[in-house]
Amino acid sequence: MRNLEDYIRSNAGAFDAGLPPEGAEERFLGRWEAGRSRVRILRTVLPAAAAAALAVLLLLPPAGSSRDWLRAAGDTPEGVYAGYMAQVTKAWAEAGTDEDKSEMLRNLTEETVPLADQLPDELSDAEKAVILKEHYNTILDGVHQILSMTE
Amino acid sequence: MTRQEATEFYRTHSRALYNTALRIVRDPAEAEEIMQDTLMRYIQRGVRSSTPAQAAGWLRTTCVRMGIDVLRRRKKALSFMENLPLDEVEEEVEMPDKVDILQIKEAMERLPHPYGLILDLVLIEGMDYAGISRLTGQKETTLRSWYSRGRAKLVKELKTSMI
Repeated sequence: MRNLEDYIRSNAGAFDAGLPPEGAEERFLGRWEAGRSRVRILRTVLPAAAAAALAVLLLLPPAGSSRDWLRAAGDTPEGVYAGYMAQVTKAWAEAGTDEDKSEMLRNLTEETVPLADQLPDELSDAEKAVILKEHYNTILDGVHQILSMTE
Repeated sequence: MTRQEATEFYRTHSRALYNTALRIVRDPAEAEEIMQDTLMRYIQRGVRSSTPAQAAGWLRTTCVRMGIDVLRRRKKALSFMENLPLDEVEEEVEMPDKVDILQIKEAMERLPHPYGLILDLVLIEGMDYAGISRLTGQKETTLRSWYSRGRAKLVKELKTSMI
């Protein structure tokens, strides 16, 4: 008699016999094209967002003090992102050389793919801005908690 | 990545990922979605893999994680897991004679989760208990117990199907 587990392991490839549903490749390529378009848009928008972030940075109070950034951010996804980034930049400055805080800030604020780039195109800019404000405000609450931590 | 590269990337990995997801969620539409999400995540995150095996490993782990997330959202398998009795049978299990791989595949598909899930992750995906523990949040001792019970159920299922 053969050992059941060894037999399954040595024939694992046979378990991958199923084919993806018809049209799956076209649907994948459609998503890939859409993702590429978003990246192109983001690359176009980012320089403007960075400039806006700098402007907001100069206007806003320190990161730990209030939620004023929400008012200054306006109602566009770019404005909200710029305002958020300005707050993050201030937080980094406040953390200074504290490595623990810096590490926590990095873990909390780093986004592999910015949320703005993941929202569906069907949403209007105003709707996206509302979602982004709520999302980034929650993150900034955490940022403020990190900054207020004492050893 | 060019369109041609994206197509080749899809054709290289889609089948294995689709089957992995299908074994976990047991629904073709959801399995396709998981497969596509996995591939897109690899591309969008710019994952760097120095070898094809590394890329395949990242994709498989991500695919399994997404499949388990679907099960969690369904609140069937994983909540069901928590109430199962724990025991473990260490001895090797001999398979019935005259059983082929197709019969085993069909028998595993008939096993309820978590038994089908744990047998799939250990025997077909080749994952270790520590890795499965990280993905499911279950203790390794619990996973080993389910595996033992699943293995016994599989043999019973095979014997029944041969009658």
